[in-house]
Order: sequence, then C-alpha cells, then structure tokens
Amino acid sequence: MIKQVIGAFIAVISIAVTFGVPKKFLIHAGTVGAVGWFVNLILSFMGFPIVSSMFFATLAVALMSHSYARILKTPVTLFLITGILPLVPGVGMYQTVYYLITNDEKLSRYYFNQTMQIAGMIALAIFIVDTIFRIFQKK
Amino acid sequence: MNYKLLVDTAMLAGEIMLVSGAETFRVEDTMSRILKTSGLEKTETFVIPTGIFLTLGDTSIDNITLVKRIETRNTDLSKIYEVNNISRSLCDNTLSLNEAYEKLKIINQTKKYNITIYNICLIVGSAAFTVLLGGKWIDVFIASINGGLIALVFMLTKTTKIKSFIKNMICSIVIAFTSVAITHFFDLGIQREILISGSAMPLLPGVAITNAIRDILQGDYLSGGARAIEAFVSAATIAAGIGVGLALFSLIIGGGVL
Repeated sequence: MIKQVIGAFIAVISIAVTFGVPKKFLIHAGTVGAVGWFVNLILSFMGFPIVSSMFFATLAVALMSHSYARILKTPVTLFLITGILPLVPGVGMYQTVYYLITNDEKLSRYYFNQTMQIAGMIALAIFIVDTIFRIFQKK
Repeated sequence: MNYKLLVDTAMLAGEIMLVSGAETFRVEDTMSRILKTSGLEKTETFVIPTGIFLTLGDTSIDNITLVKRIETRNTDLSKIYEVNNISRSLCDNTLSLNEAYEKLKIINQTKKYNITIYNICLIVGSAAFTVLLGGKWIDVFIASINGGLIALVFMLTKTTKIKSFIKNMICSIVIAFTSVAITHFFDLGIQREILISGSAMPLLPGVAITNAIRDILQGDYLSGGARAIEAFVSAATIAAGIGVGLALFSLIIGGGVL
C-alpha cells in the first residue's frame, strides 16, 4: 500500500508539471494527491464500497486543496485539478469499454453505472467542501 | 487614469487566465477587480469558455466595450497563479498599470517547463499511475513505454491542427494496441486492465472535470455545462480509442485474444 501511495505522489507531481504548476507548489500538489489516494485505499481495505471510499477521498483532496490555497494565497485549482486525477475512474472506463467489445453487455452496463456514480460522488464532495469554505470567506 | 490601457490590461489578464484553464467565475472576478480600480460606475464583465466581453463606463466618459473570441485552450496553471498575483498587487496599488500590462505580456509569452521535462513527466506519469493502481514492476515498465508513445504522438502532432481530443484518441489506440500485443506475445503475467488504464490516466481531462463542477456550483450553468460536455467527450474518446485498439489487435490476430 505504501508503494501505491508513493506512486500517487510521483504521479501527481509529474502530471502537475504537464499542467504547468509552479515549481514551489509541486510538493504540495503531490501530497494532496497522495493523501487522497491513501484515504481511498484505507477505506477500500476496511471494506467500504468503492463509490463511498471515492467520496471520502475526494473530500480529503478538496479539504487539503482549499487549505493550501488559503495558506499559500494561490488559486485552489492549482491543487484541486491535479489532486483529483488519481480518483478519476480510469479503470471503470476501461472495463466499460472492454466488456462492451467482448459482448458482455451486463458487466459493461454495471461498470458504466459505477463510473458515473464515482464521477457524481467526486462532484458532490467538491460541492460540499467549496460550500463550507465559502461560508467562512464572506466579507 | 488611462482607461484605454486599463481595459486592455483587464482583457489581457482575462484572456491569459481563460486560455490557461481558469474557472469562468475566477476570470470574471479578476477582470472586474482590475476594472474597479478605475473607480468608475459601470464595470461589467461577461465570460464564457469561448469568449470574453467587458464594458467600462460612466456618465463622464464614453463607454468602452471590448469583445474577445477565445479559440485556443492551453492548460498552464502557473499563468493563472501569476496573473492572480499581478491583479492582487494592482488592486493594492503596489504595481502601476503600465508595469502590470508589461508583466502580463511577458507572462503570456513564457512557458513554464521546457519540452524535455514535459515529455519525461508524461513517461513518469504513466508509470506512476500504474503503480498507484497496484501494478507490478513489469506493468510499470511497459506503462513507461506507453508514456513514451504518448509523448511521441504529442510531439508528432504538435505542429498540425488536430484537435486535442483526436490526439488523445490516437494515443489511447496506440496504448491499447501495444499493451495487448505485448501481453499476447510475451507471457509476463501482466495485468492488462491496470496497465492500460494506468497508462491512459495522464490523458484524462482533469481541468475540464474540475472546472465543470466548480462552474456549475457557482451558477454558471452555461460554462459549467460546456465544460461538462468537454470532459465527457474527452473521456469518451479515450475510452473509444482503447476499444478500437483492443478490437484492432484482436482482428489482426484473428480474434479470441481478449
């Protein structure tokens, strides 16, 4: 599991470079991604269904991104865009297509639904954290 | 105060941010902050993903209105950060309007990382995403080859006018084809689903997904909806590309490998 978390850290940093995140924030972006993936792994290990573990992982990513954005006075997207990427359901997309072309429509539909649910959960978690931080922001 | 320069500065700031991948409401917010430094009554900005409109006016002067069509999209988050800093210091009066305009012009032309680092990061990214999904070392090794192929496709199509989601589709076809070919010809115990989805992760539309969500939350349904479609189309073309790559190999080999 530690290997996977380190993988997430490196993956997010390299993606952050391709998105042009400034050098001094690369480590921050990496920790956001690593923590998000760690939460997801821990919750999956504890037996949570994938949709809810993704929800809590996104919650962690969004919370950290907003906190970093406040502390470092940067736009929150710097950390949010890159931190969210490991959680985007790439495997689900693959499986949807794979079972589609192997003519297993039932499994394909199952994975398509799951992918959509995960996407919805990611959106919901970002909504929640955004709203919480907006309450404190009002001037 | 030079109002003409002020609207140009605001427009340039907005253009850089929108092209670089900022959320619509952030662009509007930054532009109206810059315009409000004039102290005039009317400072209107209206931004959608493909264009910017702004008006500055008062009873004392003729209204100034600019329209700007945005055609390209080129993600560079550092530019958003830098423009944000400039608009902050402009509003704090620590930076003069002329200096701000010059700085914005410089930002617009510079690129943060050079192409070699970009390509290396694509390769490392593909490999690391495979680690993250639980791949073994052999998967990681082949994923880095796939990352190299992505970088190659991007380099070859750089000067052409091919749209980015077509590029992504070509990349995912290549990834799926090589991955399934390698798993077919060499018995290395490769986990195909982890390998292919890990390698394709760097292609995913992270900017469009995040901005779609945040724009919709802000109430910008037009921009949010447009970006949601962008995210969906990109994801769908990547998925379709993977499907085409798998089916193509299975067709060449005579079926039955999947």
